[in-house]
Amino acid sequence: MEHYNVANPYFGVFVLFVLTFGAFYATTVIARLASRALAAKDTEKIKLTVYECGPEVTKQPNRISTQFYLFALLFLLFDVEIVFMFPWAIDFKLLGWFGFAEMMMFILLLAIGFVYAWKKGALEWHNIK
Amino acid sequence: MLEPIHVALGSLNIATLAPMLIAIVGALSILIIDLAKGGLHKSLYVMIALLFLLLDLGALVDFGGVFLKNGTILGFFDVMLMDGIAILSQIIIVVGSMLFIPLALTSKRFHEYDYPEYFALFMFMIAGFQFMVATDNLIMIFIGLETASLALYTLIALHNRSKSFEAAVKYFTMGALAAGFYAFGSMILYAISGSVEINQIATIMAEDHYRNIGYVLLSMAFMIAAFGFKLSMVPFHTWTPDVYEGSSAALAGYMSIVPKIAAFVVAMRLFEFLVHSGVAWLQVILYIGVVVTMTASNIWALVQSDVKRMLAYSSISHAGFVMAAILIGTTQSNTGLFLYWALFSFTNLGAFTMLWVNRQKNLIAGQSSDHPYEKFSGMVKTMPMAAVMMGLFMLSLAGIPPFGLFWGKMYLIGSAVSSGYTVLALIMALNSAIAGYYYLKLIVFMFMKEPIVGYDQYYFMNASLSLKTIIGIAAVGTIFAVFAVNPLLKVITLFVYNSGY
Amino acid sequence: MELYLYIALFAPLVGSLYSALFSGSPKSQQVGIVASGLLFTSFLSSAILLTYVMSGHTVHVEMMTWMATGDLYIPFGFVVDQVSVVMMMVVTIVSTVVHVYSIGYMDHDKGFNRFFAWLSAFVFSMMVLVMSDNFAGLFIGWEGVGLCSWGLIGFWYHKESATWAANEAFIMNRIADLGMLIGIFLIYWNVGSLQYDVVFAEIGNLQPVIITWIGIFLFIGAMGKSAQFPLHTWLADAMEGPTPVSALIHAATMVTAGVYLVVRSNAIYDLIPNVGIFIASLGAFVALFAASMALVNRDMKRIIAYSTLSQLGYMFVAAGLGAYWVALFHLMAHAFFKALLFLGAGNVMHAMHDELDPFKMGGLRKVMKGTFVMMTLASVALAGIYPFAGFFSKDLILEVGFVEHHYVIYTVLLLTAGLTAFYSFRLVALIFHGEERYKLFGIHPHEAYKFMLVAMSPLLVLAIIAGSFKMTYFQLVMNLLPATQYHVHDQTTYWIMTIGTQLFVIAAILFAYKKYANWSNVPDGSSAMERSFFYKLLWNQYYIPKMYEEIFAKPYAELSRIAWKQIDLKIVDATVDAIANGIYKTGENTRDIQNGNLSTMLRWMVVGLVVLSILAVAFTVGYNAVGA
Repeated sequence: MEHYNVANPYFGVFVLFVLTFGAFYATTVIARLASRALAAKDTEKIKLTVYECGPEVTKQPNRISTQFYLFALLFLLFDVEIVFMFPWAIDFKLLGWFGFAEMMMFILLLAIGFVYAWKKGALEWHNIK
Repeated sequence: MLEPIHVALGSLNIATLAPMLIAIVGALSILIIDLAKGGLHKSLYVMIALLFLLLDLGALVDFGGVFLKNGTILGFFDVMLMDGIAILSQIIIVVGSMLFIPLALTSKRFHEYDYPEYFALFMFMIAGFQFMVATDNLIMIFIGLETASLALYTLIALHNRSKSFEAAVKYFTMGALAAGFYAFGSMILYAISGSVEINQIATIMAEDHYRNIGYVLLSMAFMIAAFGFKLSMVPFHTWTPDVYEGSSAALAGYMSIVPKIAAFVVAMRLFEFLVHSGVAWLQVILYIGVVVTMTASNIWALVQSDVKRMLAYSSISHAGFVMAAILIGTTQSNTGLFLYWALFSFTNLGAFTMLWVNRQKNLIAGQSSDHPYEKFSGMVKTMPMAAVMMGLFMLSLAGIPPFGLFWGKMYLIGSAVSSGYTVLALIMALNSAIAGYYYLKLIVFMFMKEPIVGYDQYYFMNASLSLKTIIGIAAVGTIFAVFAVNPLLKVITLFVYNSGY
Repeated sequence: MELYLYIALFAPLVGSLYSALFSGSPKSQQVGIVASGLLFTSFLSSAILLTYVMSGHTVHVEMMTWMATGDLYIPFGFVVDQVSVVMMMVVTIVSTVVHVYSIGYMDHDKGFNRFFAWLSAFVFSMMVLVMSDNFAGLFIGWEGVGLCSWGLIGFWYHKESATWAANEAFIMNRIADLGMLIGIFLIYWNVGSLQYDVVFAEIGNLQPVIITWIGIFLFIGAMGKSAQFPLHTWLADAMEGPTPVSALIHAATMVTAGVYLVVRSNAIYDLIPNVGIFIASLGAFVALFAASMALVNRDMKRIIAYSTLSQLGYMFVAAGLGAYWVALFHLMAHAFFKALLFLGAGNVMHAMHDELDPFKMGGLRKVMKGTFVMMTLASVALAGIYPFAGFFSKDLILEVGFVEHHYVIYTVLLLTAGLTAFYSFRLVALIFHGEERYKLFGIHPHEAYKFMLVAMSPLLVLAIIAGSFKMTYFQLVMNLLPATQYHVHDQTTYWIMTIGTQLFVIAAILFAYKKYANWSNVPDGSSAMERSFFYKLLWNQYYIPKMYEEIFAKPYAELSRIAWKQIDLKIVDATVDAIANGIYKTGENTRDIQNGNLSTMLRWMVVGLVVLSILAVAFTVGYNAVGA
């Protein structure tokens, strides 16, 4: 295919991406087919229940609190912000006052979010029982 | 050693952010007020939202003046792009939102309005849409799109009903897939051009004479899938009726207008330069998409037994109709797009508000859905004024002169004819005729059948002064569109033409 | 002058909106007074415009551009010229009188305020119709008067017959309007404009066939509005509305819009004399036909309605023969005395507690002196006795027929003149003379309010003296209309004709008096005359309403039934059901709606994407193959 002279340096990445995508999809399909063919057909009750990250739903005395997920979400949110701060901190001098102002703005917005979450009681552990 | 970067503040042109910032500040202040003192009445938040929207509108109008004098305004390393269509679409977005937000002041209590977050999310969503239209940077579009969409999913879910959760989850899942499509499409575009700015992509492609046509088309396939979802084009439309049914009637009306104009603007930016470059594939695909969307959704709308679902399918059909403007791609057709949508927003919001007015909390025995046709039968005897209003909106939607949408339809069909798309114009006209059938069906129910006992108590159960005002405004907009069409056209043409579309 | 134009045009609209504000609230006298006052303002402005136009100017304004994009250009303009100013005067005079009169007439009606809203809206539409400078505006006014007439005929909407009549009028007019709309489209296609001046300047360049079709279609519209055969049945039924409405709409203004259209389009009709002859013949036929039905009718208002129909026939004869100014003149004169006649009939109706059968009245002249004088004089004017208005306008039409050598038409019209005199005075004699038969029914009649009679008096004066304006009027309109003088050249013939006509008419009047002035009983259908064939034929309006019922209404109902049963149920519904089933079937496999549907939806999206991608690849391959 000489016709497509893709000069862009990212072309290789793209090709890899597509290949990965295809390979990933193929793997899942093959895995599903294989497991369907190989697996022993048990009609155990628990097999038919909802899958819930390990714990057995039907035998569980109390459900997992949604607090858990809320915490996870908040953690993720504030954790990801660090991703922006690292490169900023490294190039701090280079970015100058403009960079500083931008980051302050960012942190301000973050702080409002944080205060909001705090005030709303998202950081307190409510006992359901 | 790299030199420190000096960015002159003036070169940023921070003013270009003003409209969105106003919306965001509005949202934040709503949150802060709630933090400071909880449990305030919803009318306060409605008023705050209205106030900030008004400021937003003022900023936009100001930009409009500047645009007409100095041309397109760029800002933030050319990420922000305030051209005519950006300003026009933002005005439609903000005005549509201003018509929507007073609908929260129902006389019955609804779950979602007890949360100030509802209004904050609403303002964030508006900011998202504004970002989406006021840029031609693919990344910025994506961010705007996602900001708005995530807020919208939550707004739907807040209408506390199992159907709403279902709708929100469906919309969210499919939206995620569509966002994936969009990201993929953008990636391919970036891969072949090395830029994320649509106008630069266009230039680069033109320079190498579309050598990578295969990749361009592939990326367009992804983009069509992504925006087909947002614009609910067949076969990416499947979410529409379910989501509309699940969300409150007012929000459904809103969703049929504001997110779509934003998507239309991006589609205009993205597709039209290709259509102009004579990429036959895209023309064919859009042609097929437009015709199928219009026709199929019309036929589906015919068989609906619920008015809200009927309106959902009919708004798909309207979107398909307007999509034709992007296919045609002339200044006249783009002007028609904005004219149509401006008129449509009044009429459709009015129609959905009429549904909102008689929303019941619980279904009565034998009722299959919230708004079956039977609910409206004989309405003229019990609520003559409401029946007349609803009839008015239906007539306008059906495109009966002299009501609002007739002019939009006429202008769009006219633009199709003058660009040589005679067959398309014929199909558009034919579809308008089919659509007339199901709109008139509701009129027949309202004016010619006997009232069914049991429903009459719901007719006006939600009506409060502010809802009535909105219906009144919508009705006035629909009736007196006759006189507004020409000045409106002049302004829109000026804006669209000066943006180079 | 533009200011006066706008005042004349919009004052009625303001009145209408003002009254509409109160339409929900109980009756208040001030609504009527305000509406009438605004109408009077409109009349004054029209009068000022009249003097201005008489000094040789015209006023032409373009109020706004309605739509101007590409090759579509619809301005919204108004013109006051010699023709429209005459119409404006007629409309404003009659409607002012009718408004004032209605304050008394509708005194006890619950819908008093609503009535004035409709009535003023009607006047506004009529003003738009006559003042528009293009066919589009004319059509808007045309539809507007149709709508208002619908609302006013069906004003007493709780009466079944009234709503039926309103719908009949509306539907018949819609059928005719379709014809008119086609005519307007034809004009636009062939000329590219709807402005009168442009159209009339260009029309000569078109092919005769096209001009003929334009003329025919426009005339179909005129036939509907002016209730010409065979679309005439609605006019008599429209008498269900309040009497002031009949006076204003169904005598003086709206029904004459058809004549106005033909007069206005004289440039078109001049080019197609064959259509003109057809119009004239139809007019003559309608004149005789309607007059004959009026002979035996026993409903006061219907008799006057038929007489209106007959007079419209006269106008069309004049217009069809090219004597446009004569048609317009008769239109004007007729508006005055016919409105007067109707308002008088309204007084009688009030006095008789809505009794319409003149055979149940008699001897009313003793209690209703004013009304008696007015109705008698109006009838004299209608009959065309010198020196009343009818003499000048109606005899002129006879002369036109004679001068243009259409002797058949002339004879028919002459005969009709006799019939007109007869039925008019049959009515007068039965109502006001003879024995007081109403006593049998225990009614105690009384004269109407004084101010109602005063309000009617301008019409009375005009009915008497309108003829003397003839030369002034002629000088005025000859600026715009073909200025042909119709004179019988031979003096002897002229005098024989004129005096002969007068004598014939007077004889008819005397005969009517002799036969009916001393009537003493209420006929019950047993007399020899009532059983004769002709009586029955006329009594049943030539069986035309019945025929419509049999030919159109019943087959239509049958056809609709078949269409519903066979086409709608079997084909349309079946298709719709099939589609619905198809849609539901796809959902059938996924019973678990929550999960199933979402997966299906996602799958649909991916399918769409895959199809698009395959198409993209296919196209690229094809493109490269061709390109290489």
